[in-house]
Amino acid sequence: MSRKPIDQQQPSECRQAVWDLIRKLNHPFTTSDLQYYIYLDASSINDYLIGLTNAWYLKAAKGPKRMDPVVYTLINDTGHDAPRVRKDGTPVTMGQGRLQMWNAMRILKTFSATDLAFNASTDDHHVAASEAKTYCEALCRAGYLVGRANQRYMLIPAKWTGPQPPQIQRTKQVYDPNLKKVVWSKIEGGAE
Amino acid sequence: MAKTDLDVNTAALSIVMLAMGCLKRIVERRDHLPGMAVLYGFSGFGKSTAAAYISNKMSAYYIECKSVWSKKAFMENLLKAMGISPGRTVSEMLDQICEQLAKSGRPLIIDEMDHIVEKVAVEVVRDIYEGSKAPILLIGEERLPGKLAKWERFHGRIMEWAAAPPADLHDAKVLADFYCAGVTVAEDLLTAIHGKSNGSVRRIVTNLDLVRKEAQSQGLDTMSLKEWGKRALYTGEAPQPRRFQ
Repeated sequence: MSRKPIDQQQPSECRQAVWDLIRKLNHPFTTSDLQYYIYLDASSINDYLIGLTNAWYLKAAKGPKRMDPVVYTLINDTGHDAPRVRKDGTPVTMGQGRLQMWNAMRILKTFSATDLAFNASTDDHHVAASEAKTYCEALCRAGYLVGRANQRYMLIPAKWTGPQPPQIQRTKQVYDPNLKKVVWSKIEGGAE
Repeated sequence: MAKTDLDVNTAALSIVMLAMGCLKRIVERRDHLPGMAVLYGFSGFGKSTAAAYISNKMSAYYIECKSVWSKKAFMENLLKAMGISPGRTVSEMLDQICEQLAKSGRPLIIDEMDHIVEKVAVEVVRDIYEGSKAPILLIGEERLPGKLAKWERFHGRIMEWAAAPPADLHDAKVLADFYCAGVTVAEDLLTAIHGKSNGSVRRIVTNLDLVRKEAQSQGLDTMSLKEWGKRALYTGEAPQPRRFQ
């Protein structure tokens, strides 16, 4: 099943909830143990567990009988943040640029889109100046940044809501995963 | 599109290389060695650029201290940066921080350390270090090492003291490649900019911006000292007193 837009998901409907539960259980578990608490279908949970196993966060053991469920054990607890892994265990890189920009903004405080691109780039992941510009404009509309002279932006300190970068959704709205709410959306046919 | 092919080479700045090396050494240290390092230097030398780069590259937690912070405020803000909702008491928060640092293995960068050195808050950093043994990089102004010297128990846990170097001509070149993309800045002008900027990354960038704008308004694709002529470069100095006859 395809994933719902993030602003329409229940708090117990995401991978973070699965990871939190795994850490809280603190003993070997099966998929059906999780399903009781998590509002996700079994195949979605399974995909994540397989990914975690391939990335060596979990160890999977098959019971002796053919129909026995797989029992998972947490072997690498890396703390609060749910690991972002694909099914084959490789790390998810989507959103990496946004994350790097969001981190850099807090450190730079006042910046132009060019500055942001330069400071947010690493040798693993380059941030293009055009990408930085798009993101700055969106955050400016959502009231996170204020525009200054010379096309510079300033981050309002109180608007650094947490470690996760606000997302620009395809439906033309800005969603803040730290606050878990939509912070800006385009009004169709509103007042001009 | 030409814009996406800009020559981004943040990693080649000497301050970034220094900070990166410093953090790597404390991350990969042997168990018995101390795990904190200090990066200090004058403002404008690119410490923030370096902090942004290394925190992204090594996925470190970053926190910038404010002068009004108490122990509690420091910890609340650090937990916010980790995305964890803080516990009720200060000791609960300390445990949360230590657990997260120890389990995730991510380093911690504390910027503007000067602001909390004068207060008891400096003890918190030591507690966090002792409770997690996480690699911690402290960043501050030029006089930070002197200020830290007063805290003897702190001093012994520092593996490396790194002084931020002034930007050199190569750094100016790296910056010009990015900030003046599409305009060739001739060697002599770049040397002049570097000389006037007094080793400050920030001033070099300001000057390169001036050069780019001037080149664009004149429609030139190369700028040398001859084209630049007698136009002023930004030096950051206060203006000379005026004289009226």
